[in-house]
Amino acid sequence: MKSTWRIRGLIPVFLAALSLGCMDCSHAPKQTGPATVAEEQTLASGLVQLPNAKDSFKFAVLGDFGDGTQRQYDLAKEMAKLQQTFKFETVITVGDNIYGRQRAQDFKAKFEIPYKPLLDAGVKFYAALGNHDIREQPSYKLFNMEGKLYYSLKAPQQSVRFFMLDSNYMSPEQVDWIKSEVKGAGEDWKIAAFHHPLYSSGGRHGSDTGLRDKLEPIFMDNGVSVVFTGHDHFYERIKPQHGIIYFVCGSGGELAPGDIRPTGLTDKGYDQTCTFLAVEILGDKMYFNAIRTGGGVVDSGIIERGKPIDSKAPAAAPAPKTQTSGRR
Amino acid sequence: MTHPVRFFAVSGVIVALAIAGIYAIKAQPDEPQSTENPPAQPKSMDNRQLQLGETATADVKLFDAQVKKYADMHKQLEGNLDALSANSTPEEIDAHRTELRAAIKTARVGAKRGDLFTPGMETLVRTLCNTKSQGSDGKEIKETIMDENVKMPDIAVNEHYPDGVPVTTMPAQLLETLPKLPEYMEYHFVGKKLVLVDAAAGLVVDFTPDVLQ
Repeated sequence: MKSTWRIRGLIPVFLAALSLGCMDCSHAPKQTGPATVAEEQTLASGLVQLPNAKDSFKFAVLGDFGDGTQRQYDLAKEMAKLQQTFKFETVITVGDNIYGRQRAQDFKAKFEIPYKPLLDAGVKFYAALGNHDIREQPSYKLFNMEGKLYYSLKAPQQSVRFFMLDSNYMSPEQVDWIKSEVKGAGEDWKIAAFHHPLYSSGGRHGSDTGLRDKLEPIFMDNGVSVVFTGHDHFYERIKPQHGIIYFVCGSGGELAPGDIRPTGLTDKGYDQTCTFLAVEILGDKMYFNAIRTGGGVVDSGIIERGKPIDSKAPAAAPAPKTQTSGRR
Repeated sequence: MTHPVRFFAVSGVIVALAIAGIYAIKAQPDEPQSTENPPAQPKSMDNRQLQLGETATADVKLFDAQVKKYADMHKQLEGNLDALSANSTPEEIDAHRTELRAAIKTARVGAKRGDLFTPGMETLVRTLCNTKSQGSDGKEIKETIMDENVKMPDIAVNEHYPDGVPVTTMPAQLLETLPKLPEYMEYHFVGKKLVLVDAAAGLVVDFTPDVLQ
């Protein structure tokens, strides 16, 4: 089953960029897409443009964040500020959740304290592991991994399933599990999240082509539409690759200014301050805003899910609550 | 003076041989050739390309047995501790990890390098890893291994895998080749060493040096 995807309706970030002094925001403003819808709802920041619709599935994506730095704390405040009006209840993490030593006090200083306003508001974090994370994090209750190194997660609204993978240790067992799990999923939106990017313009790390050889065919053959990764410490939206949209969301606390190289892969990149991604799925549309510390939007747009070529694809049923499955 | 016909004939043969030679080199498989009657592979070797000799098969069986022995001990010692759930607190995770490591270290007093990676197994692991890392996707494999393969303090068998040091990513292509491990045990590279890590306890179980050329 193959799907077609496109990005359109980029938000007037050029104006925002001018007002914020952001030098690398390259998209010209367009008055199509979420901007018109967003006028019906008022969000925390005038620069953020999301529909904020009642029945949509709203979530944030955060990566490479748990370093306990002021940068992490500042971005956490930005997330909490947005959550007051854009009521996302889910945060997908793409790894490096805790850096350095990982004693009890580190979980507090590098996670529980900075995100306390979100946790208090009932926001649930669902974690994937990065190369800095100890392998016992799946047992940590606030990461909601249910003891598993890799698992899938059905969103509480809309027809969405996340596949949270352990890219540190892509064992044959995990590859088999991914194939089976993605193939068997009936949701409209199949989204993968893990640490190491299959595509990245990072000078420090860049694309993990070995991992790409393993995962990309599975994603292509089974209708995965969007992939969230981290590892490189910046924000990057990759030009569609075989119909799949790849994001690098690796600046949730760590930051590598100037690390985005001219690879030709980049549709949009930003490496000057920390960022997280705010996302909203409504029907066949995924709206996204990459938001930086200080509240500016550095990238935005809509991903439209095309009708599957295979018309016999199973219809998605509404999920009463978030469900997970997977293996340690 | 060379006759033109002879010149072209000789040149043609040389060129043809050169081309054939190039194709012959390119056609060399990345993995060792299988024999007509290869020995049966042990079940733990999920590798469809590499065939093992009798000695190597025995080495892998011994390795598997030692790994199982370790895993059984791990399971028994962990059973004496409060079990972690999916809803554990950081304090519980910290305590569990520390206590499990201490218990295993005590139970394995006297453990030394080579207990699991026997000399035969070391040779086999080096062969497997080098065959893969020099194959068609060898560049990607090496890049993955060396990504954040940072300098770290010397590691020692039955000692704590250092805190705060990122684990190197294990290429899927190598994990397909190396003997399968039970839950909580993982292979990771530290420099050129291949380390067998008890991930739950944060403990170095064994390692073998100079695995990558």
